[in-house]
Amino acid sequence: MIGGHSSRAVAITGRGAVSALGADCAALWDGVTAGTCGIHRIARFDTSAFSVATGAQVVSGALRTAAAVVGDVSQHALTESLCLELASRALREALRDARLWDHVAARAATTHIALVFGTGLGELTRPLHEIADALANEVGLDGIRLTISTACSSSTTAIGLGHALIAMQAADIVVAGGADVLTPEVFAGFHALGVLSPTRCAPFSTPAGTTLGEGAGFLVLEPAGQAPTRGAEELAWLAGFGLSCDAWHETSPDPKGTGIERSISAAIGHAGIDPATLDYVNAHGSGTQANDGAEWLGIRRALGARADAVPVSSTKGALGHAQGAAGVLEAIVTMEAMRHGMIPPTLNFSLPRPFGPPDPVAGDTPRPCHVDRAVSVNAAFGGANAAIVITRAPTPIHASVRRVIRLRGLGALSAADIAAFDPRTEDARISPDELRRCDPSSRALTVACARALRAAGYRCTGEQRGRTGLFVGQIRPSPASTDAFVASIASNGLPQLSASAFARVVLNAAAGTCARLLSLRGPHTVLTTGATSGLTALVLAAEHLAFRDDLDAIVAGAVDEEPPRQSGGDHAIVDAAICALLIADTGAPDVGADGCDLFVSGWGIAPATESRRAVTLAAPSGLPPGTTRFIHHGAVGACASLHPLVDAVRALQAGDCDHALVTSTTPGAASAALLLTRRGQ
Amino acid sequence: MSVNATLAGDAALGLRTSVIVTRADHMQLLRFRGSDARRVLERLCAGAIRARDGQVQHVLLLDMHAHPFADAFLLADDDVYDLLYEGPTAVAMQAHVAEHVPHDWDVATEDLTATHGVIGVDGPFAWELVSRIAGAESVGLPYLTFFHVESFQCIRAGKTGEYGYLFVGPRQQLNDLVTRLQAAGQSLDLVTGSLQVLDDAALESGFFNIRGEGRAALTPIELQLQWRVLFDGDGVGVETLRRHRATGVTARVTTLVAAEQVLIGDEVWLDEQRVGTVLNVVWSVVRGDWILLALLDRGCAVPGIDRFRVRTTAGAVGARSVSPPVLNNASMFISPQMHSFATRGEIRLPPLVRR
Amino acid sequence: MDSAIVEYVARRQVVLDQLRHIIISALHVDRPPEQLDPDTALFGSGLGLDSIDAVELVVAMDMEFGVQLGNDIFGRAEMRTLNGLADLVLRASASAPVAGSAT
Repeated sequence: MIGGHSSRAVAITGRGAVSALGADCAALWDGVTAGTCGIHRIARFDTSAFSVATGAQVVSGALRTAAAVVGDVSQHALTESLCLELASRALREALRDARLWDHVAARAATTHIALVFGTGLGELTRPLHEIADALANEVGLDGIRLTISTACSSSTTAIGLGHALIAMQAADIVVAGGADVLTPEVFAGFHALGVLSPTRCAPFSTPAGTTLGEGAGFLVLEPAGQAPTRGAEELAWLAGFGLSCDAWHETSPDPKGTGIERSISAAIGHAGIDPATLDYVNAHGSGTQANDGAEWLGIRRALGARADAVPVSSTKGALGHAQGAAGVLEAIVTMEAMRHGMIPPTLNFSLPRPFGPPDPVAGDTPRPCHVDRAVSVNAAFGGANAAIVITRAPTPIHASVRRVIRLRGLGALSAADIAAFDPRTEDARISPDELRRCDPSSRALTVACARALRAAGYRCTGEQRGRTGLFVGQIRPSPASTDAFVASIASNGLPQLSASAFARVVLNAAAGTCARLLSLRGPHTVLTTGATSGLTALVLAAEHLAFRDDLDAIVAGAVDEEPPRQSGGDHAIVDAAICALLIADTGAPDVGADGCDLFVSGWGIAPATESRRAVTLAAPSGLPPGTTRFIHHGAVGACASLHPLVDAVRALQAGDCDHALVTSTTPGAASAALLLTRRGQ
Repeated sequence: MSVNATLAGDAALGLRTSVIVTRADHMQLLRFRGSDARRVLERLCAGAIRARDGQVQHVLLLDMHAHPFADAFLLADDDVYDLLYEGPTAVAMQAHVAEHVPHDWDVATEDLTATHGVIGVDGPFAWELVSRIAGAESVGLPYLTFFHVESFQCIRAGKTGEYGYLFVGPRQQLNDLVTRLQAAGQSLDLVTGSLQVLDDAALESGFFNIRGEGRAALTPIELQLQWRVLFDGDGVGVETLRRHRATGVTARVTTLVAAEQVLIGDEVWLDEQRVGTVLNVVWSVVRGDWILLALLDRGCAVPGIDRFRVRTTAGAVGARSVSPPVLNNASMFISPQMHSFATRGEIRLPPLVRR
Repeated sequence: MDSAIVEYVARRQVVLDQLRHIIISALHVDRPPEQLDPDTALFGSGLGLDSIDAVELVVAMDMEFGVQLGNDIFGRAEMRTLNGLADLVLRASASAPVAGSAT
């Protein structure tokens, strides 16, 4: 253990899945190995106005909600309940598999079990974090509830950040995964973008195009040695994860594949393994021309010579593209491949496309093959990539010395100013053309982020682009874009849905745009814990930065373009976006005129009901004498928890205190704490 | 037909169906370095600078009369900008920079014309040839970006309407690169190109040619190059252009096709009215007719009129205004991710000629 | 110039103005209409539009003009410029222009 950081290997001790191949994990693996294709004509809604009619839907007979959904699928409430039902099923299966279900079902204390929920769910009836809240309440999990939303890489990222929660000892057990539903809106959006296969998704083969699917899946993660004490099996090991952003385009991957490369390289580096020893790559392989070409280039860049020999398959020919749930379903398949010594085939593979993997495991039968180490990777709209490394043998967390983290710049933009500013005044590299499709959330986040960078005198150029990340807390897509999306459906109808409006309603659209405009290509994610989102982003960014030597800095913050007005309090002006620049203390650049120079001396996250535990994690040996507390009281909106942070930074810089503890709690989500220390203390 | 004409014809056809390699000796390279480099280029170029991080931008430099001075690709990489230009000589460009850039701005220029040369690779299968030299990675190179291959910069850009690449690198290595390209391109029916072939292709595909219509003392407004101008900027010549715009511009360049030869300077008539002048003309090998660029009165400077008459010394020649490109570029239908030269017979292509 | 040509040019101008309006309002290109030259490339270089814009443009062509473009829109020469789009609109409208089809 290194100062509140565990180096014990992280075991996968449970798995649950609902997919187009069936209502549990056994059905998933049996289907994959039998060469079953879960892609059929879509039954749940009418596709007659579209040029494509196929999808990979969960068989409705298995579900309660499905029957109710027929007839009025456009109601978001029903989509949410279907999503919750899928998630609940998979979650219960995972808990049973890990021999935790009896404990949970008995309503015993479960605050030590965190839920990390990934979903791309776009249009919402309520702030996104309340979905995980509802799911956890229904199943009976009282621990941290953290929601990740990076479109099609959501659940992969959720698994990765689940690993982080274990490593930072914020939870004894993490259930991480996600769920997504195939809705007419998502179908219409992908159709508008022209990326749907006319028939069935055929990764790396012809015809190009993806087939949308849906599902849910969860993995149970915990430190080595814990599960066997209750009779559960350590099935495989989550050895590492890596995140990145293409910083290229809203819906198209960087054709050079450098974003995919960075996520895989980061995951391999985190796991501390040699790419030459990899036995299998479970590719995103969505089947689209743009993805498959770019992804293979990225895999090649990351694996070097090993890429030419390693089997690379995609299970989307069988499962379709389950969106935010794709990653966890693929992680489960990858783990089962390892356990059974069988590599899943790439279904529907006929003629290879040029410049694809030489060994895509084409066919409809699995290949017997011993797999000790595997990578599973996913890519998403907004350029958010995530990769995880799964190993057969325990891999201790590859922990270097905890680096010193500094907070070097703050940037904010008030909601009232959104209309009045131009992001170009913050960063001269931004051209008017690049702002064409930017919604207010994207602009606000970009300005706050650019201000934080500028305050610190941090120039994101050259190699540093890939070593600088962005973690954003957000509870909903831009209301302006949501309105435009709804208006587009109302005026054009779903078959002629506006592709650009669709691209903006994914929750990570603003973060993707900000990363693109400011060249932040390092680790990237969008998360929510409600009003605590901003502080949570800082906590997870600090943790990410502290133990990896392949990055220099992360901008962390929150955006909420129409934040709720607060009655009273110190903040008459409500901020639409607030960002902080965290830098690892190696080769730090010059401090700008407005820059601050504070140590982030501790951080923690805990269940909402155990806020003191977050403080204990932030200051394991107790708070230093003279610590002033800055507490987030009741205010709502994604930025709310960052207002006390701004106050704390101001007080430290003014010399009013030497240490400042910033805390925030959102009932039903989580509690976060960050300890800041003035330089020289 | 002379041997040269036949070779030119082969190259013109090669450009549209396979791949050509051309020594682009008409291009020169000037490097800008320093914290004010971007500001300098905003002064020199007529439009906003948007290239960054390995991107390439098609820019236009004007003189004080708001006439085109240089047509260029701007390569951006943090604080280093490479201006790959055609039009003026290297000496004229250096003088232009010295005249218009304040001396106290933090920028150093380096004229790389003497040490660096350019090789162009163009055609619907140019990507396949380039991938054989630069590796599979080059296949992912998006339009208007560049990356480094050995000691060359490989730029994805061209002015032919086909896949186009420019290799910029040390002069002493150019011959070797050409040899390698030729060897690798044999199975792709590679043909050696020429500046004339590239210029002809530019007119066929609606690209501006600074050595053609660029010499006619016209502004970007007549030349349909306003997309490369930031009218409220302070680029060289833009103030003149604003004044010119205020006076009202009455003519615009328009593409025409004619069955018989016409010459630059010939008058264009519509019914009984003289409506313009021929600025540039090329023989389209692929189409088998003449492609004209004429400066026409705005009242008739539109495609779709077939009653133009060009008065030549040999008599009147009928001409029809069209929307460029006058060809269906095969490159628009060919994808490195789906196709290859070896299986080109299976690619569904529209007829090469747009009628 | 006879009245047929004058009428054709005027009709074309109306279509061009509508197309410019689409470029500015639907695709958010921040330029005054008179600076959108009819032969300027829409995609790649020129105005720098991308695949998302292409989809928006196809929808707008249908909604505004009833012109339906099939798949492979990127390859179509008519999609390259405003003049190309105007050709499509005029060709689709019942009355043929003075000059017959534009090339």
